[in-house]
Amino acid sequence: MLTVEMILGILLAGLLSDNYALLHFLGTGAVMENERSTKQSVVLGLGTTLVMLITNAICWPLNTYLLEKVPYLQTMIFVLVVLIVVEVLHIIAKKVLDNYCHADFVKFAINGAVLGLCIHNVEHHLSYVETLVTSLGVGLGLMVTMCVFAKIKGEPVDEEAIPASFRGLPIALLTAGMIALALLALNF
Amino acid sequence: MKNFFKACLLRGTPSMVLALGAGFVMASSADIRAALGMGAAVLISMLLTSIVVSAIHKFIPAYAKLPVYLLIITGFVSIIEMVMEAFFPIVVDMLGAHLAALAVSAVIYRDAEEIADHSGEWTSIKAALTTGIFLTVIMVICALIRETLGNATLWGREIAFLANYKVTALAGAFGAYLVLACVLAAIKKLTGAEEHLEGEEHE
Amino acid sequence: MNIKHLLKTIAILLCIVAVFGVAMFGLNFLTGPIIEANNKGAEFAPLLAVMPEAENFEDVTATLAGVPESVIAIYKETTGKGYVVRAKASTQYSKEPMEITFGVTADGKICGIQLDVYTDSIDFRAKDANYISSYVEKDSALADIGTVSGATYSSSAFKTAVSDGFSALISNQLIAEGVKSDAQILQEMIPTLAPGMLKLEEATASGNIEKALKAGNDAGFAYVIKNGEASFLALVNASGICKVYDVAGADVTDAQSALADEAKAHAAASQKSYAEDLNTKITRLFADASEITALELNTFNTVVAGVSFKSNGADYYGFYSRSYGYNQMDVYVILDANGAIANLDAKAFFFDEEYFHVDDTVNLTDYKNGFAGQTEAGDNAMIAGATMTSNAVKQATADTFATFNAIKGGAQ
Repeated sequence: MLTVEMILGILLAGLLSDNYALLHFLGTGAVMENERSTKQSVVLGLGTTLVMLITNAICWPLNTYLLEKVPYLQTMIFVLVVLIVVEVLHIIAKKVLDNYCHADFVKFAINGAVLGLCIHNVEHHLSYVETLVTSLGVGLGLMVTMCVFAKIKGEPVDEEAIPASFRGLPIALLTAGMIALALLALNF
Repeated sequence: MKNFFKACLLRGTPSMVLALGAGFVMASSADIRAALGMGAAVLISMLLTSIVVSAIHKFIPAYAKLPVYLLIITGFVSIIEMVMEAFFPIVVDMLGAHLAALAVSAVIYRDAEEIADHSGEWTSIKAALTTGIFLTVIMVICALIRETLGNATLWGREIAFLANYKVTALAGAFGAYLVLACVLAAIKKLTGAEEHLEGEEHE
Repeated sequence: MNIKHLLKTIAILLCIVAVFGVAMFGLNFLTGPIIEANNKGAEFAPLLAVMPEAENFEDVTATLAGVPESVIAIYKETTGKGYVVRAKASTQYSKEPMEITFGVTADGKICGIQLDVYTDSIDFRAKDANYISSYVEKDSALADIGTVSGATYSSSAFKTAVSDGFSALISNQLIAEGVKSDAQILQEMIPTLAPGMLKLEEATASGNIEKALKAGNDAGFAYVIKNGEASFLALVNASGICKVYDVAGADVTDAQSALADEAKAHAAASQKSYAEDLNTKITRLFADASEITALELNTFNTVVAGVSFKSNGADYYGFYSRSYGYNQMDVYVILDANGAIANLDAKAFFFDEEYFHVDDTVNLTDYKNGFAGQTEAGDNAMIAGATMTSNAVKQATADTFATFNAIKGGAQ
């Protein structure tokens, strides 16, 4: 049975020491390319968290009861689930909060982190509750990382201070690397 | 080689492509076998997707393009994964979920949507080849640096004289960012493509 | 996108899944067997590492009864060369349980052993590089296998996991139980009979003495000593008192007095005396101390010296305990005539070396004074964050009271 400490531990791990985008390189591209405002990032992040929760809630029983005989169909089925969940959520979201979610949401929500998480949870034979808690933690972690990058991109940067060849992507990578380094320290 | 890089950089994709594909590039640059395996997977899945998408894009309604293209990519990625698991199990072990996550990688999707969807087969095949090879080369360069200096191995074999001088940080997540950033900066410097790139970034 | 579009999209998606599904179903005929063979190879790789001459394995865990929880799986070598056990163990220092694989030949001896997963904060492999390889060729008795000092918890968990594996094999009658030698049985009795002899090190044996062990804290000596065919355990404490036990654990000191004398003579040659040290300390604590007389200790704990003395007209007893905390401790405990603590001090408390540097927060004078008047070991010795040191202090007071009571009991 999961204790409160264990649940908090899983959530914190997803948020910090097991941060998918920064440390596991799943969804990194989507997060680093994030040029939305912080507010939009929060909404998008929460949306993605919801996608993670629902897809994992569906994928776990699918994998446990149906995919045992045909493991090679796993990725295919998982992606199908993710696609359908995202599309359905998109239809609902469009009606509820039209201001934040354009076609943008669909593109963002289908990223490596969502699929990677489904596969990770299945490969580590997590229980159903653990799967859901992990999804929540990882989703929130993704949201926080997005906000961090949104904030960094929003800050004015003195381009002159950066060596010419490092401008653009390289310096962004180094920044991400430094955040990753700080998070890595939490693993010990 | 210089011209190839320059061509890739100037074609306008790489800065964008690398930012979108940074995840799997970094994830597979810890070991040269993983880098080559991932490179091959990206290249082949891109190529096959380009061919199929440019062949069928006329029949897919606009609203269904994204899911359909993504599922096609997934199909090819799954097939590649099966073949690799049978013949290169080590590589699949090293790449883990990243190989499957390639299915939803924005790089391949973007290639399918923006190029294959709008132009003929030959253009899209050429685009897929350049992007794929470009990414593979970047991954292999990063892997060479990270595997030899960070882990003191090459192709999984230990390099004796480096064993005592491992820079373990290079083998970890931070090393992935650091090496990729430096490699990109070096390529920019060597090919002198920075002005053009900057122009694009501000678009 | 509306509902109609959504349904249409899903229909197209299902078509694609069907197409790829069929393709993959076909491909699976080609790759499936290869993948299965690969997985089997990967599963058996650690097994082959500990039993290189093996040809094939079969997982027999499910067919066995009473397999301990620490045993993950037991594999049978199909041509009868033996068994491979995979076991796990964890301590409070483990991030994840350690995983051990070891092979046992058909005649019950370990033919290879390795640690597959190890995340404990203290690495016993670094403290004793040969510890793991010392298991090779041993049978289930695990003769001469101790623990690694400085990594006692981790190494004893390792040993327990191996023993558990053996007991699963033995209880299912797969191998014969290893027979413990008398010497091994006797040595395993030392911690119960002489709990104060810590960090035993081997010393030079001579005469009838088969094996001589010296306590690293100078609390005495332990000997495996022979009289004809029979082996005995002789324990000599810091005051030179000797007790002899037979293999059954019975006290046979009177019957084997010749052995006791031999043991005493061996011990006397290299026993370090702490009497002078204790006397100096007492004269420093009690300026008017007089009639300082050494006491003969008849306990086998961490007390290495004891005296009685008079101060201010009252009787006092001083004891010197060498318990072991984070480091070797030297604790002085002075008791009054009623056996209550009058004074407690140590050469150094080592608090500053413990993990959490409590020396800034602990007032040492208050800590020492807190023991005054105590007549039995209590928890006021314990300091959070300095568990090892304060445990050692507690041990020292407990041993002092035991020794005092033994002397008092003997005198009455």
